[in-house]
Amino acid sequence: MGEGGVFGEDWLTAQRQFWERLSAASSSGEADAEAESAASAAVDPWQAVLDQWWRQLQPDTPLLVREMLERMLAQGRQLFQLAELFTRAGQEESETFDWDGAIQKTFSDLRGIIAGITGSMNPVPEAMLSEQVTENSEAYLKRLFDLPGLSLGHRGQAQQRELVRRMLDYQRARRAYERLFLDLGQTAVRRLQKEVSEMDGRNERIGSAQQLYALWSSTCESVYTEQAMSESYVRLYAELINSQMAVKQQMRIMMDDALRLIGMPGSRDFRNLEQRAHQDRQSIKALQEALARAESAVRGDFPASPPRKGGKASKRRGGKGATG
Amino acid sequence: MPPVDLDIARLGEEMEAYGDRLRSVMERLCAAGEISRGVTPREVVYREDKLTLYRYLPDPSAKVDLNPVPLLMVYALVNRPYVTDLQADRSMIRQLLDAGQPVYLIDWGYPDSADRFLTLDDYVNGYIDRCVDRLCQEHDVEQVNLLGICQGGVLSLCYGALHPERVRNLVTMVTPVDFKTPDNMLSAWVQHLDVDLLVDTEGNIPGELLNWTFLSLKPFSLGGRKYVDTLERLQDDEALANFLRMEQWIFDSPDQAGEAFRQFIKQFYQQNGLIRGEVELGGQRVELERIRCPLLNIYAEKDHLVPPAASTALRGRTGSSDYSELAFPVGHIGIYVSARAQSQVPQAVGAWLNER
Repeated sequence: MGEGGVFGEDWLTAQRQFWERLSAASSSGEADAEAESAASAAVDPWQAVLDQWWRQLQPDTPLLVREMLERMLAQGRQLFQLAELFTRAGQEESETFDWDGAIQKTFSDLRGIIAGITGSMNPVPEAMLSEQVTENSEAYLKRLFDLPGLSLGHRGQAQQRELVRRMLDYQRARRAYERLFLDLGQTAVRRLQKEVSEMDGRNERIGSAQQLYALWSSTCESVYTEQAMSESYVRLYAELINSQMAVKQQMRIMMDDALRLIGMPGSRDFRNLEQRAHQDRQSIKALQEALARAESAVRGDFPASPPRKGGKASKRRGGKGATG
Repeated sequence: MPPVDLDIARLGEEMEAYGDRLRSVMERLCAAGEISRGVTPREVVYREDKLTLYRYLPDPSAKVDLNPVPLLMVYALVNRPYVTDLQADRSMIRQLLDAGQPVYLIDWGYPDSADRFLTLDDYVNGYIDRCVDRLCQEHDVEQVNLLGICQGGVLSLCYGALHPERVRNLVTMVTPVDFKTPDNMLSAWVQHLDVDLLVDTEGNIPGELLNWTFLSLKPFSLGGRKYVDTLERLQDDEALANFLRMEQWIFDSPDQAGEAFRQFIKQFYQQNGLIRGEVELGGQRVELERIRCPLLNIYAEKDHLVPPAASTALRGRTGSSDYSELAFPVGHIGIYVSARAQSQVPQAVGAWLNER
């Protein structure tokens, strides 16, 4: 860590160099490979220093702070990546500008959130659900689907096939859902272009990375909100969660079967125990209430008869359901 | 000149300034110790399973005449109720005490697998009812005032309909009543969800899932822009601690008891049963017309979780002849933590209760 705090003077120097190189690359006016490469080589000293510093710091930071810092870092990166992209776009012909790259970067956060939704219950690692992996595995799973199960009984084979079928459904739902976000990104770009041209008409200017980021994120949010209320999105969302649950359920059935074979309790057994514990708890509470009523009746507070369900007009100074 | 006029030299300066701010925030964040929460002194008056009923203690120097009727706050099952007493200048509870209300709060705790079979009947006719019993006993009264927040407001409405004789006044805050208004994104998302499959598979519903779902209602604002926009405001330690406290609360989501979640999604969100009088708890139909006590319905005009129309649907649906509404130009959380709401909402609630 340098003298200038976390980042130090070295970082500031590297950062200035980055912008100078980017500026040189831009001012050459056309695809100046050398300048472009020089700028790329120096790309993101900001990020590099942050990442290095972050790696050193991470183990000692409390979880809450760590997560929050990660979010701040991610947004900081995005803020300047966006500015950089638009700076480059200003120097390039609009047809050659990498809008896809811009979309991917901007929507990566959104994908992170989606991964958060599904990932919190995911039965398979997220890495297994990327488009490339699912496309490759679909053919494999289909072949597997047709094979007779070796060393498996009829039930075992049927269970395996059911799992494969559900996995394929989940992969399809996941792909359809992800594709929707690509479309969203493209719609957002078109909307942004429209917003920018309207600003031009109003003689307004965006002169900072933060203003650009604000416009970009509000544009993306409005596009997202419109789409997320549509019937097609709602269906895709439900299919995603439902198909994921179907896989998980099938995995559990198979796991339970396997556990039963070796004489171990499975999830159904635990669930039964949970239900029994719940019923016992309810019975104990009912008894405690009855006892409290009886005690009150002895004291002459009110009659010992049980109150009607849902109506306790006559009940007072009783109900010691638990510790107080 | 093109509208996007990013000058390289200016961008460099901006990046440098942003880096400086980020550095300052990071250093202070790393140095930040434990973030305190909950500022008003309180004591436990009742415990049952995971539930704790707290009594909040008024400032003895304040010399406020307390309302003889206790006020029971019923918070949602999702998220934690300490947001109502987050810090000294953001404590709805403290403001309510100052407004003369003897405040009690139900903390539902963190359900685990032992609570998987808890139903809404258990929550409403069991836990809430026994808390009401306890308060009536403590204060030697027949009725309590109820203040329900968000889903807690729904539970309070159910309680008020099933036990009208126990509720003196009812205050609902950012509470959905019509679960199918056209602007309700959360509702749209769950309409085709196979909630039976979800609960049968997961048991309790992970809090993390709900949290991500809430964030994904406004992913660019809540998951992104917030962290850029607030950086400038976090340059003093107090602002930073406040921000951390809110972050801690936002990501502190208890799991949901499976059966209660199943009922809530099916009966309320998918069937819109509350407004249609079709919700059944413990074999009894919840009929809003049975609520006859004075009712104050508070909603947030910029609420993206419970749109205003979802709350105002309560108007004319109860049997109360004393129904009032209070609208605030804030969001769902802002209604109980924003400075503006803090300076008005609890005082308005207190005054309304004291008049009745």
